[in-house]
Amino acid sequence: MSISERRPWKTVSPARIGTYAFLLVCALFFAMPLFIMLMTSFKTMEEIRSGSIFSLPSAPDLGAWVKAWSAACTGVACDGISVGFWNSVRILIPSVILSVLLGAVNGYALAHWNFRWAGIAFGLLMTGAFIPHQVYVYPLVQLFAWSGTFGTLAAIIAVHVIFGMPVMTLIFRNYFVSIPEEIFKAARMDGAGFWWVFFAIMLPMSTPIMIVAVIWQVTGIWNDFVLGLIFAGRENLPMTVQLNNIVNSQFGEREYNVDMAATILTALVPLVLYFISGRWFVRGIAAGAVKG
Amino acid sequence: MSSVSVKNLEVRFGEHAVLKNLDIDIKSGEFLVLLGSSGCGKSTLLNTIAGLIEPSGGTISIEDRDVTHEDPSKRGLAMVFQSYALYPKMSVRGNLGFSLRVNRVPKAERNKRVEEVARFLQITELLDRRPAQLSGGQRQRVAIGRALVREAKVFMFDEPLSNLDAKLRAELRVEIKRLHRSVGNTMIYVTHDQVEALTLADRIAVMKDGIIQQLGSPEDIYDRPRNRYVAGFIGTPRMNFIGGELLVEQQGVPMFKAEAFGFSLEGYDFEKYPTQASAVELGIRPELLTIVDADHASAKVRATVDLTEMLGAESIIWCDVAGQQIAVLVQGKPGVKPGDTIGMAFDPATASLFDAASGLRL
Repeated sequence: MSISERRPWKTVSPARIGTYAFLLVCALFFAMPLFIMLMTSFKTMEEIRSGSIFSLPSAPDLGAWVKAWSAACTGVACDGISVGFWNSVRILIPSVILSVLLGAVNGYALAHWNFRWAGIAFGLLMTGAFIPHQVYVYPLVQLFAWSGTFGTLAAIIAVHVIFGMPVMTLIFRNYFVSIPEEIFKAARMDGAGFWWVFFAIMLPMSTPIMIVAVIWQVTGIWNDFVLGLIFAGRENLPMTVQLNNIVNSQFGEREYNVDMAATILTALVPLVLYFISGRWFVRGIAAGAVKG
Repeated sequence: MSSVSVKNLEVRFGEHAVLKNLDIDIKSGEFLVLLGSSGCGKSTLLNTIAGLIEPSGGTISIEDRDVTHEDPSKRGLAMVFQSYALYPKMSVRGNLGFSLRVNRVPKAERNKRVEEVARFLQITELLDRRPAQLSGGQRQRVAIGRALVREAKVFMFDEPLSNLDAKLRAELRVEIKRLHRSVGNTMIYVTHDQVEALTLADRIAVMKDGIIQQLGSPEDIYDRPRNRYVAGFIGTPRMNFIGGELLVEQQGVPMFKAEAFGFSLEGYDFEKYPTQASAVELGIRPELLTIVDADHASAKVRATVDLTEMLGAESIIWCDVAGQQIAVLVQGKPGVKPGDTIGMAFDPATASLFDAASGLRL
């Protein structure tokens, strides 16, 4: 039998049709809600009430988007979800930078500096990763209250940095372990200490894992609801919490188009990040899996 | 003056002692090779001298200064690694100048030193390349350059040629030898390759199980191996060993007696003249055996040719001597064929006798 005859995907077979049908159903399953949300957000309330949820908007209208961004009511105030957006940005940027950097330093120390109790330290950190976050909520609230920082931006940033630590440390450690020890030794012979090796040698080599870590943290922190609600305080409530407030405020009629627009706006940051870096994300995970 | 002096060194990994009571003195300007098969502790010894492994006992001095607990970078050593360990994100220039940058040498001087070393190693045109863009031999040269830039007193090499193909290995071996001659630094070189050891070394330390089995010049190690292990480890084809008995008579010379044959050991230089009979092993290198007619007067042993291997300039003849396999290395073509009965002659003075129980040279 020749090789060309053995190519099963060239011919239409029942197995092939089945595979495609399955893929199509899956794609529809995930795409349908997005489609409905987008369509609804461009309709007026009049049209939503009268038409099918699957129909295209007769005259696309941006009114709902404008209202969601700048005028929707989140409880008492009616400044739209933009307030939450900027709150989330203020929480996100320092939290991501701090947690990724600390994770990188931790991972590097664990991977290359055989200090005493390194194994135990790593084990404890990993235990932390597997205990549900809810367990920590009450002690942390007490701790922040006692130190007078409860309900501040610093508090919510600290919480994100702390909860990000185990996973960040783990992925950086696994990545740094895959860097040949000889490079580390050579740098030590050249006179480089802990920080020199980290900043001059290790950090420049860690771009792929850095991207993975940033994506991981950005999505996690942006999508967080509970921690933001508890620790951020009224002034700093993140976008997810504001979205919930918009959707669940019960004055008058339910503005489905505004709700949909606000939801898409909230999901936009992780979505954009995935589109830009999906390629890197998969590559980074694969690299870690093989080498770690 | 001794350059590196190791006394009573002990290194443990957990319960397991990798090095035990190890002493070695390396002379200034000497090329010392640590030779042994993998797991013998040679790399551990090198890394401990470098300060990358903390010893659990003993002292290390460099130029008469105790550095046992000093930081690796303060010891005045430089190391070339098997994988070269170049910093992948830095150019060759960055790699060469890194130690100077860490030590805050002004930029102008840094550049000057890097350029000098690059010129010396003939890698000037590679200065702006990344390690990934270099061939194995070029990487090796940059790794050596990194050691040169630091003006280290002692150069250490950890199997630097093991990753290269045979041709390049031979070339760089010569280059390292030339480098040693022109810079004159003390060099400590770890390898499992006996050819590298024999060609490069002023002295070789053969190691096994964390113990130096023999320390001596290549000639010493090759001609007068101190024990059965060293004798078997060095030389290809391997030294032939024949089990037998050492007979000592009241008058006259000691005799070697195997089951099917025996001969006098006239001319053999005993470490200590034997006074009583004992079980021994006789070792003789394949190239020191000569093939003669089976009934020739000089034939000490009769043998049957089993197999011949023609290597080009020389041939190996595998023979059967009373059930034991013996290799003979002859120049040119074999000259005999399987099944032939031949005689073997050799000078007992060139043989080695080992005590069968302790393995030590007699």
